[in-house]
Amino acid sequence: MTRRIAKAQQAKAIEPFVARRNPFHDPLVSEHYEDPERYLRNFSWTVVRGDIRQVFEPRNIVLLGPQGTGKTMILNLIRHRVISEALGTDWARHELGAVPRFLGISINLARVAFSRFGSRPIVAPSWSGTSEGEGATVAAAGDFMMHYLFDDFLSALAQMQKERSGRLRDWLDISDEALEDRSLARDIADWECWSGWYRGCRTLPELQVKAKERLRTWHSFLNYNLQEVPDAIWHSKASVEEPLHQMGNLLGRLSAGDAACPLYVLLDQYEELPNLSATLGSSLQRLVNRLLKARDPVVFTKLGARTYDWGRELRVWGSDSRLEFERDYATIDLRSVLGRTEGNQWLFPSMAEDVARRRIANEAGTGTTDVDVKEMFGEWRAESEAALYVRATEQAVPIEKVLGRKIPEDVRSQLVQILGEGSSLLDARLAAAWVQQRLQRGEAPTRVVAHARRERPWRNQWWRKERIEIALLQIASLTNQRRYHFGWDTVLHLSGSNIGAFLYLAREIWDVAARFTTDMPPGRFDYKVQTDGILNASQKWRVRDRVDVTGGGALRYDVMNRLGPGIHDSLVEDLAISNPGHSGFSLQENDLVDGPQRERLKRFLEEAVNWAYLEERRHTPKSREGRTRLKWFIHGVLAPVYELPIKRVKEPYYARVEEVQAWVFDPKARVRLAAHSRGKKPAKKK
Amino acid sequence: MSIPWGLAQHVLRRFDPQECTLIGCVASEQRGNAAPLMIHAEGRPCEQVLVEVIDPPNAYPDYGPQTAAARLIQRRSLADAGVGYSDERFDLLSPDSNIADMLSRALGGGASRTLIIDISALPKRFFCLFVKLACVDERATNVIAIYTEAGRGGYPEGRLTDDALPFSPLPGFMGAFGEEPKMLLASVGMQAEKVEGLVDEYRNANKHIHVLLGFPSDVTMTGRAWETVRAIFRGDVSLARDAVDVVSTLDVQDVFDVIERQVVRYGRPRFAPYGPKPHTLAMCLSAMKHDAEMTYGQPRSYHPAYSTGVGPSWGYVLKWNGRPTFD
Repeated sequence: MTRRIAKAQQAKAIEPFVARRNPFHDPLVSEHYEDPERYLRNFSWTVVRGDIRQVFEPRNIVLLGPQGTGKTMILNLIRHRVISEALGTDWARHELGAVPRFLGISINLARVAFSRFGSRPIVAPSWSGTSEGEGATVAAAGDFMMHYLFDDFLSALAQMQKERSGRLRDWLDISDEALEDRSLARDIADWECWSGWYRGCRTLPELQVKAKERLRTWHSFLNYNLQEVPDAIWHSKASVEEPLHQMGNLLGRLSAGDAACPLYVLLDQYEELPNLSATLGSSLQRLVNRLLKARDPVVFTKLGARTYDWGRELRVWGSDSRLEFERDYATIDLRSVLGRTEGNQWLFPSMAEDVARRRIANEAGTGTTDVDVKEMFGEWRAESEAALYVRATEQAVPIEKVLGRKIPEDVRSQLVQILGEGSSLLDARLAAAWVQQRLQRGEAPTRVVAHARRERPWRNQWWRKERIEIALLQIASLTNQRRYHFGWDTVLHLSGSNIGAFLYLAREIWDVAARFTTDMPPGRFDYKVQTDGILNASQKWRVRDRVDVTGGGALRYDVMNRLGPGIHDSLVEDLAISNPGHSGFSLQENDLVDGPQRERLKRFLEEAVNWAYLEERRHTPKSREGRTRLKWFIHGVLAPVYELPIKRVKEPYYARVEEVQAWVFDPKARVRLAAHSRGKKPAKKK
Repeated sequence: MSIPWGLAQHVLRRFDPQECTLIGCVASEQRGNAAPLMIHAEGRPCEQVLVEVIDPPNAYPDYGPQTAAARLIQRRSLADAGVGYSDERFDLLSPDSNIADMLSRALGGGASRTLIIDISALPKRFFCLFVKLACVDERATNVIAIYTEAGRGGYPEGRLTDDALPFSPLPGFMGAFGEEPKMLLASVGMQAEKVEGLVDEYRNANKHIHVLLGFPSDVTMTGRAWETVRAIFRGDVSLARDAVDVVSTLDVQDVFDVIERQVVRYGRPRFAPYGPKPHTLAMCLSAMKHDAEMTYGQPRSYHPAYSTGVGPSWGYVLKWNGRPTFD
């Protein structure tokens, strides 16, 4: 008992040693940076390259990517408050030089009352001409959204009016005279689309007061503080397209430059609408879709959505038409922008490095961006990791241990001899795997040994490269240890090109390090500190799904807890490392389109990709089955907790759809990824 | 005025037994029956409306059959005691208006009456709206909330709820339009870890985060709650010192006062009710007073053995002779 108390006191004594604020806290809430200056300090411009630049071009854009890939971070740049701040710094102004000018207004559809429309029926008076039932509610939601955006538009104008020679007005080329024209507010108030609601307003602040009054009325009604919607609101109900078009036209008139100055409308949290409003979420999305369908030459919509949340509702409210890809909107998939290309180009590392450097400078308060982030995490090499599993006092024992027990004793002893003294554990494990593979194929032991002695084929570059990860995993398992995870490349691979995952990992590593030193950031994080931090992050990422408010997370959590250990066991037990790609599984694309059960499975897999629990890639099968396939891996950040390889190699496990259905929906199903041979279609059950 | 409270039997004796309506919940929890049985046993001519709340069909884990079986046992126990009641059946995620309409039906047309809201087994999204609307509805002259504690050691180990939806305001508690909350005020208890998801936003904006812990409390619950506090404040004890209040689990007035002190100090809060139900009730009253938001990630799946056994029932007078007691 005394020892326990002493231990507790010791732990308590260590705790307050947090000298600097962990700069990687708050990894997933970049959208909550209300302070544009702080947002810009931490924003990495490295990502605004190539395809991403389209976000700032005059066209409707849907930015796609799983949770945590930085969609909101990028889209935030459109907001007029942020652009205005950015124009105040030389470096940001330089970056913005390549971007066409625009004015961006925004609405967060989940935070404001928009998603609550549908929670209380709205009955429009018969004289208002508004359709009944759901129609009245959707019309009301449209009115709310429009006046909210109008209020933001007015804020931008008022801000420019207030700041003489302001940065934003210079960028937009709007003259003092144009903004100070006394008739400006009166002209806006007289737009026909308002049906007289703003009549009598003479200044921009007066217009804002009136807009807020309307928004407050809707809000009060939905909040049960008001019994009925006043007639004055119904008399002046606005459409969703016309006021925006008027705003776009006005902006064009105010701007004196030769180039067009369009209005951008940023819609945030579009994908949450079905979750937030079970009754009307889909209809609200259809209402928003009208903005994209409008093909307005002066107004362009920008929205972000998780990869598979976009496309489930493409109908347009009040019309039989649907949104058409490339005609009505274009998509940018952050997975392909940030992930590795076929040519092995990878944007993510430079983005992660820049983000880390900025965070350390700005959030930890070091003030300098000179920190060598790569050096801080250090280098990972397979041999150096393998060496960590050798405990000094037992050096001879583990070499034997990692050979595995399935190789006959005489072959084993000859193999030890071939390996020679001082051979590394990694070499030994790979050699044993090669020998076992050959024996399993039925080759004579003497022939195998001779071949091994002659050529040492496990040192063949490609054979070795594909198996190193699993060999290390097996070494850790055979020596009863957990795998060590450390190094800059490791952290990048674990992140799976997801900046949220990267920050999560960095945060936990920093927290572990800060328990032992006040000298933060250190020159180098110790490999044990990194291993502990990475494992913490992995565990938390796993549990996050169960405890977080993501919808569907409880099922995902259970499935991952079946899938992860199942894959681990399959890989670790395959001492011949015959199927190094079996850390993932593959299905034909059209396997998932037949019937409600398969639809359900498809939905599950898509949601797991959306929330960054699975990574998905398209791949071409080795065999000649001629159909494209999709393969899934458990997300990199979960690899440590389930003890899975970090790097993926070809060829995944070719699963039967019934098998995957069982893994997901049958809690008693055993997950094994070892039954079928490489690249061959599995035999169907008779 | 302060909120009069005490053992439910004692509180109810203060009110005319005539013209009385009880809204409760027939659930898998035994304590949901306590108030209906007590009122029936006392021979009060009280109209009882019991709500049955059904988890959504896509909830995971799907406890539907177990919950239905447990609910049947509770119904039998009511029938055996001869308790008469009218049934109202709702989906857990029913639109706010359905919940509001039910209250209106229960209050009937015209005659003023005493409304008893048994919050013991009612989900938050139901009882908070009932309380808000009843407090402003002239048909309810008196409004009394009843809370029955679980039996001794009545909370099982493991998870009690699952499959939560994204955070959103509870019905009727969206907060004032356009007013950013100045602080996050969370109560923590069972599955308190969910609060962590809200905290980052406030920490990031350098806004105050305040936590209420109930005492006395179940040992398991206390352990979990403190774990959450550690997580919220990242183990930084100095931050937690001014930001954690250990308050009575049952004394709604006391909790209300603690909240008021924080509101005076930091400004309009955003409430995250993850603690014991009397805390939620106090937050609900304060949210009504300040037009503040109550935010919650609604779980879609409730464990059938959410609580076991029956402890004492407590009554809280929220409105007396047409006048709210908390303000």
